[in-house]
Parts: sequence; structure tokens; C-alpha cells
Amino acid sequence: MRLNEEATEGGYVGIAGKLLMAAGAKVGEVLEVSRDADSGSDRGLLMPHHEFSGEDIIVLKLPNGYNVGVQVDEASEVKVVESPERVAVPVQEIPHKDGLPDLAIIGTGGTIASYVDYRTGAVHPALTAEELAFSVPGLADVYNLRAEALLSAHSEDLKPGHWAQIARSVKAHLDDGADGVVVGHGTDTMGYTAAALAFMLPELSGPVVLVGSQRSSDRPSSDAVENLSDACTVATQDLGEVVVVMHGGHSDETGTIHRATRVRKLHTSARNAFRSVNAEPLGTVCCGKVDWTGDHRPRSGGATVMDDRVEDGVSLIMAYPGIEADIIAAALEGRQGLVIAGTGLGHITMRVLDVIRTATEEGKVVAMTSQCLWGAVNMNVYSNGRDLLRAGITPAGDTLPETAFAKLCCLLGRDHPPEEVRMLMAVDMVGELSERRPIGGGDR
Amino acid sequence: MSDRPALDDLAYYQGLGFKAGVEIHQQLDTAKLFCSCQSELLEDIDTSILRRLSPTQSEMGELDAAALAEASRSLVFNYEANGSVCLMEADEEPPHPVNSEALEIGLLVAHLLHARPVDEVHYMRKIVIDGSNTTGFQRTALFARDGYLEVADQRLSVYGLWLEEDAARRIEEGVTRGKERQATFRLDRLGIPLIELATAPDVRTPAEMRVVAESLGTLLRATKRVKRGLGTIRQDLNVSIAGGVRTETKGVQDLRAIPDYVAEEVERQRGLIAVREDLRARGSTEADVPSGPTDITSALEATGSQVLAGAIKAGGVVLAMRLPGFAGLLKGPDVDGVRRRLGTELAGYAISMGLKGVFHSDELPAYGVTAEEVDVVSSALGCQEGDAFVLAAGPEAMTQAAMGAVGSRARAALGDMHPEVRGARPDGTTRYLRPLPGSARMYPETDVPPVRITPELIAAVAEIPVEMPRQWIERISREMGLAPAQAEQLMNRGEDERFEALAKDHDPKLVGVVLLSVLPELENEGASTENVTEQALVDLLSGVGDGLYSKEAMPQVLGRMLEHGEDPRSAAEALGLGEVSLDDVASRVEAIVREREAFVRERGKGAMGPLMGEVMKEFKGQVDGAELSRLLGEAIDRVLSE
Repeated sequence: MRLNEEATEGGYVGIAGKLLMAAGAKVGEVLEVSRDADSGSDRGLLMPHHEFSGEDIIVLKLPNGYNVGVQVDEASEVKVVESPERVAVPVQEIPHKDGLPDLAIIGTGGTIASYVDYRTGAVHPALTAEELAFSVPGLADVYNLRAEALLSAHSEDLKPGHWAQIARSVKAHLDDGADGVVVGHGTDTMGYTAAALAFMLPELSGPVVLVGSQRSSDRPSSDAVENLSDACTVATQDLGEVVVVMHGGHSDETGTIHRATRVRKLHTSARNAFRSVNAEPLGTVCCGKVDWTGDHRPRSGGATVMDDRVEDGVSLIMAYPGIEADIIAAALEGRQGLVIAGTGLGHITMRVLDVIRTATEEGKVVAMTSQCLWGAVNMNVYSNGRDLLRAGITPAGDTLPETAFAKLCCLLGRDHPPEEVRMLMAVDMVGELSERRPIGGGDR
Repeated sequence: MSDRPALDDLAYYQGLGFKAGVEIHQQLDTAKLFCSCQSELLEDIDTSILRRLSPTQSEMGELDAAALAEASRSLVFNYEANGSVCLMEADEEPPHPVNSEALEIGLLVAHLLHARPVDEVHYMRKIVIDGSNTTGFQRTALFARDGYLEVADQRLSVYGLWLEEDAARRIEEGVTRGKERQATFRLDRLGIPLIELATAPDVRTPAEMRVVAESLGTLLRATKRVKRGLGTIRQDLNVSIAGGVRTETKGVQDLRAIPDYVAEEVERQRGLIAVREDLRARGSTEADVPSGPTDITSALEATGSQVLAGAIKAGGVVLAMRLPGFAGLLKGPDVDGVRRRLGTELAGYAISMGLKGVFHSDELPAYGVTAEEVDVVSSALGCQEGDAFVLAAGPEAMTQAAMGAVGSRARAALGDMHPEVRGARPDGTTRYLRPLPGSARMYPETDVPPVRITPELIAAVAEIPVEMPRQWIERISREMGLAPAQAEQLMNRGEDERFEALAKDHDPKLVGVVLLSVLPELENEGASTENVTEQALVDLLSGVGDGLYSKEAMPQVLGRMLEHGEDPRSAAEALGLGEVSLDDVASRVEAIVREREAFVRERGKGAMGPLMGEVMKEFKGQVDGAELSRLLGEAIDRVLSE
């Protein structure tokens, strides 16, 4: 869409937009479009404009159900022949049933909560709690579901402030008697949010389960069904930490339970994109049963403890061949912290050494992780690493870069002096870092 | 079936309000439509994936009949993957942009059919949750409209052309495993580009359906860019008669069988109309059909019927339903050639829900169900004179779903028939598969960018040289000296390419014989000629050229080659078709003629025919027929000139 140009409902601009506007046509109405005097006319439902469609194309859904793009120009005619009334969606009430576990489902947006408008085919996020709760048939029969549509965002648009918002909602539901909380989340940054929630909610009276889907819930093959019902199963368990539950393989069989601080999206599109790195998964879930295989933490037994303070002035940068000091300087400009995903054991070129030294001297925190993901940084092996340590950089062990980023955001939000933040970045707080890595360990 | 009118009886079919059209699905000889996988079916399996599909719930609460029917089954799908499969077919990766080569072939076909391409192609998701697509939908786009085909003596409208993904191959039907049923598919076929063509329902007789299907097939093959061989082209037959309903019959493999399937469907619908009239005359109404079945498990606990007892023993149920006024219509006698066989229809709906079948009162007592048990069921259901009942046994959920479907089918017998998709059975009949899906199951495929069909692209496609079937027939008869009718037969049988390849090095007439009579003859004898390679045919033809056997022996030799995997030489030897000296043959022919000298004198030249039979019997396969005919003619001439 061109900037500063008025678009119709449905996103039409250009000549198509002009003709539709003149005809007063709205998406979902039946139109008759005559391309020119010579060719016949087409009749069909007006569909929304596709981003890659031509500006002289009107998309119609023909009576046989197929969409076609009809080219129009100044000589074309557009007529509205019918305006079907929109059927109101009946709101389904969720009655409370005694004896069933109480689960809260918090929607934050993303693929798991998208809905298709079957009239036009447009996909939009699930807006109401009921849409979310009823997206898996039968779920409301086995749990008392209280659903909250907290955010409606693509996960790449989320900011650290949103983590705090989710943490407050989680605490509110747990304090209000929920047996567990399921957070529906876009998969792109689900690992970041999970890690941040783990730091913000160090003591939990019940499970917090993040779940997403790699195939949108408007398709029959969506993994949302399996993932959401697995997440609910886990949310009823004796579990006192934040976890991510997603498909364990390509099949719709077993879900894997990952510790929030150890999980990473390692595939762009496959169902089993989420893997535990540098740690074993906590367990698996299948057909309503959980098999715990790791060292999961039980419910705290007391009230949920939350610290939702967060500093959003933190950067995350990957070292690359040719990276120069200006990049690091820019990443630190006006910010309190930086996480570097360094090469190998935790390295970055000596060309950036001075910038890092200056920043740490100013009280900023620069933490080092590895872009290898697997294994820990060790900055004592090569002189380069030793120089970085002397410049004040903080090695974060085998913490994942994203987890280190979320941790630094949280720690810097808590008004610790820089020295304390540096000390904490190098020790384990909620399972994000370990001193010992067994041979063959991890869900690789 | 035997008392059916002729398949080209125009008056009969017009009188019934016959409407029929054909849909052709043809695989293209390119990579897959939305990924770079090869379009090849493979025997091996590298890995398997288990999946389930759920009906998606629309915000308007719409869920069309097709989706519902499939959803009521609890099915797990086992998908086998191999070297022709990537993450895309496994629904683990979004579709890539549409294969431009496939679209070009599509536009070429549109050009040949005088169809008008759309301005911009938009892909749709057609919801199909029978497991044949991992996504739960088929990607399909209407890319051209309003074409026509000159066929027989009319211009038949081809109203739409689609470019779509082929579905996965069904390897195993649903097999019950515990509480679930598992069906197995192989993913190598999924995503192969298909062109679909649909004609208007203006075909006039069953016989004409075959001609139309053949013409469309030859036209597609004329592009030289479509796949050939078993399963690469599929025909759906759309048929209805006045008072009946449109059905779509899938899976007719052999073009020659098309008229029979079409005629069979006409007779089936005639029968259903008759049943409806009978029911209405008896005063039955849709409302009289009970809304659900009655559980009669306890009444039949001691039954001697293995089917029923087995189901009960496995923890299942026996459910029955009264059918008001249906007696004699489930399996009654034909009246004036019109059938009354609603029982088969009811069973079809139960089978589609996973049951093996149903029992109904028109066929009972039988199958171990006694007359006493029939009475018990009748009274449990409150059956009156003229009522029928249907009963089914199996796992409770499945049987409930099946009886629900049976009830809905029974009501449809009184009201509007359901449009159905039916599957062709080898015996010429069809079986119910699922409801004919409505347009409500079409949603935009937002992952595939729309494709603009530019005037430049259309112009470029129009320049692609294509030898049309007519032109090929003319050229081949001219260049090869083949009768035009033979050339046309080669074209219609799809043997045009193979013929040209073989005729390069062999006598075209002999090649014609191999393709038009040797192979069909073997097929008729039940041999599978699908796997006859071009090399095998080259060897077979060379054997004639090398004098190993006569051309008459080709069916025997090829039959043996196929059956025993022998080369032509050993096949000929095994058949005792060794070389014979021409002198020996000549003297034996002379002897045969001499033995019948009186007959020869009486008949003169007319003795040739009867004696040729004798001679052939003796030398069949060993000596060329023309050669024998020459020798025999000479011997007769000698007798007559004496």
C-alpha cells in the first residue's frame, strides 16, 4: 500500500480502490464487475486485497467458492448487487463445574490464537477469551477455563514491558485460585518471554505453561489442538516453574516439556521447532499423561512471588566477521546493558575492546554468551578471551543468548549495583545456567 | 445390468432428463506444484509421521457437510515419506511460490481449449479432512474459464480449468487399532501438479462420456508435458437424472468402462426415485424416521450371529432403527427393470463411518440371525406391518455415528437425495464415499502469492508448437502408411508416443499390431501389461525381424516374457517356436492340400479359407501368416491346374 493514500476496507488502493469506493462496496458484499464493455461481467463476493495483488485487481469469490483476480481500469464498472447480513456469532458461556481443575488461559496473540473469517478468508487474532478456550473442542469439558485475551500481538512486536504485563496477569490468576496458567504465545519470541517470566516469577504456587503453534489454528492440521491440550495437562501438575510445551516430533503424538530458561526455537516452521539446549527436557506429555524425566520443581506451597521490574534498555548483538566498534557503541548508546552472542568459547574481535572497557567503566553490564548455543563460554582459554574479561565483560556460562538477554533486562530493572548484576549473570538463578554438562546431554 | 438400454440410446437418456459431465484430473510432468520435489512415486519409505486432523470451527458456526462427515470418525493418519517428499508435503513448511512451468502448461491447455485465463490466479484451500492431504486442505486455483471442446458433432463447454495439488496415495484403509482407526498414506504423490478440466453437464449419453473423456485426454497429451501411465489421469463422472441428484463417481481407471459406470448410476437413481415414490404412496414421511437408534444389545446377547456376538463380546453394542414403511424397498425384486435396493445405500453410509456393514429386515433371517431374533428386534422397535428395520453392531461411538448416518440417509430417501461422491468398484457398480462438498469449504490460501497472468505470458504460450491429435493422425497415416482409423486408435489409447518411438526402427504396421492387438489381447486374458517396457517391445519386434518366430506368435511370446521374465529367444524356444525350413513347410502344405484334393477341386479358389485354418493350426507362430498364405495358394493352384 502506498503511503498517504486512502485505502478502502479490505485494503484496496489505486484504480480498484477508486472504483470500489465509488460503488460504496464493502468486503463480503456481492459485486458485479464488468472489466470493459467487450467482456462479460463477473459476479462474486468482494474479498480483501492481497498484499501482493495488483492495484488494478479486484478479488472476487465466485459462486463456486473460488477466488479470482479481475483486472479493472477506468472503463470498468463495479456494482453492488447484494449486501448479505453478517450473522452474529453466538457467545458461548463457560459454566463452572465443581471437581474440575481451574485453569487460566492467557492469550497474547500469535498463530495459536488466530481465527479465520470464513466469509472472506481473512485471518485475524482470537479476540475473546471464549474464542481461545473453544479453539480446542472438548477442552471446556475437562477443565474450568477462565480465559483472558491480554494482548493481541505478533510475538516479534513484543517488548520487555509486555513480559511484566503477562507476569502480573499470571500472578493475579494464581492468587485468585487457578490451579495453573497457560499462556498462548506467538512462537517467534516465546523463548524470550518464557525466560523472562522465569526470572520475574521465582516462586510459583502453580505451573505456568507457555504454548504456541507452528500451523495456524484455522487449518485442520494445526498443531494448536495437541499443543493446547498438552499444555492444559501440564498446567494441572505439581509443577512450580515456567515451562514451554510444544510438539516433540513431526507427529501429533508426544509433547515435550521444556524449562523456560533452556528452550529455543530452532526451526523456522516445523512443529518440533522448540528444543532444550544444554539441558534435558523436563518431561513429555501424551494423551493427558505426563512423564517427568528431568528435575522439575514442584509447586512452592506458598504464594506466588513476583518481581515485575524490567529494564528495556538492553541490547543483544551477534559477533560476526568484520564487526566494528561502532556497532557495539551504538548498541550500548543510551542503554544499560548488552549481551553479546560471541563466537566459539565467547569471543569478539579486539577492535571492540576499548568500547566495551569504556562501557563497563561507566557501570554498564556487558555479558558474553556463545552463538554456538551448545556448550558454555570459557574466556580463559585464549588471550582474546582473557583481554575481554579484563575489559570488564561478564561470562554467562552456558546460558542461551536470549535467556541472558531476558535475565539482564530483569536484573537491571531491580536497581542492583552493576557489580551485583555481573555476579548474578554468572550464577544460576532459575535453572538457566549449569556448571556441569553431562556427555551427550541435551535435546539435540 | 443386462436389461439396460443401449449406452448410446439418446431417446432413453433424454427421456430421463440425463445430465452428465466429466472432470479430468491430469498429472503434469514437472516438479511439484509448491516445492522442488520430483513428481515420482517411489516404493521405499524413509520415515513415517502420525497426524490427526480436526475440523476447523468457523466463527460463523458453519461447517459444511463434507468436513462434518469426516470429522465424525476418529482417525489417525500414518504418512509415509521418501525421496519425493520434503518438509512441504509433511506440512512442516509453508508452500513455495507456484511452479511457473506447471502454470505455463496449464495456460497452454487453456489456449488449446479456447479458454479465457483469469487476470490474476488466487490459490484456495479446499478443506478435505479424509487424510489425503497433510494440511487438511487441497491447494487449488481456478486459472481459466469458458473454453470448449469440439467433440462428436457438438461444441462442448469446458467451463473451468484448475491447477491443483494431487493428494497423497492411500496405501491402507482405516484399520482399527484400539479405540482409534489408522489409515496409511504415502506422501510422494502429494503436491504433484494436476490440471483439472470440467465440462458442462451437456454430455448426452453414457457412450458419449467416453468419447469426451478420450478427447480431453488426447488433447492434454498433445502438450507432451503431462504424465502418462496408470493413475496419471483420472476421470470424475458427474451424473444426474430428473428427480435424482448430482453424484460424482471417482476412480474409474479404464476409459472403456466409463459408459457402464454412467449407465449404472442412471439405473441406481431410477431405483431411488422409485423407492421414494413407493414410500410416499405408503404415507411415510421424513419425520417418521426415528431421530436415533435403539440399543438392543441385551435382547441379542445370546445370538448365534458371529458378527453380532463378536461385537458384543468385544464390548460393543447392537443398535437398531425402525424404518417406517420401508419393507421390501431395502432389497426388493426389480419391477420393470427398476430396482428397489435402498439397503445397499444405507450400508454405504454405515461403512463410511467405519463399520463393516449393516443387517436389514429385507435380508433377515440370515447371517446367523434367527426368525425369532427378527421378531424380538421388530417388537423392541415397535415395528408395524410394512415397516423395516436396520441394525448394526460395533464399538459404541462408531456404531452411533454409523446409525446416525443411516438415519439421515433413510430420511433422504423420502425427501431430497444427498449429492454424493461415489467410488467406482471393479464390478461396474459404485459405492458411497462421502457427501459432495459444497463451496462453503473454500478459503483463501494466504501463504501463496497471487500470480498475474500477463498478456505477454498468454502470447508466449500461444507460440508453443503443439501437434493436435487430428494432425498427428493425419501425419502418421501419411508417413507410415497406417489406416487413419488405426492411427486414431493409437492416439485414443495413448500409444502415440510409444508408436512413433518403435516405428523408427520397426515396420510401423507390425508396431501397430503390437500396440493395438497384442497388448490388448494379453490384457483381456488378464495379464498385467502396465509394466511392459519399451525395451521389451523392441526385443519382441526384433524377434520377428530376426526370424525367431512369426508375427502371429507375438502374443504367446510376450505372454511368456511377462510371465517368466524370459527374453524373446528363450520364450520362443520354450514355446517350441524354433525355425523351420521353408522347404519343409512347403512340402507339408503340399501334403495337406493333396489330402483334400477332392475338396479343392470342388471349391476351387474358395478352398483357400478353410485350408488356411488347417495350415495355421499346424504352423501357428512358426511361420509368418503371409508366407503360409502364399505357399497354400501356390499348392492349390498346382492342384487346379492339373
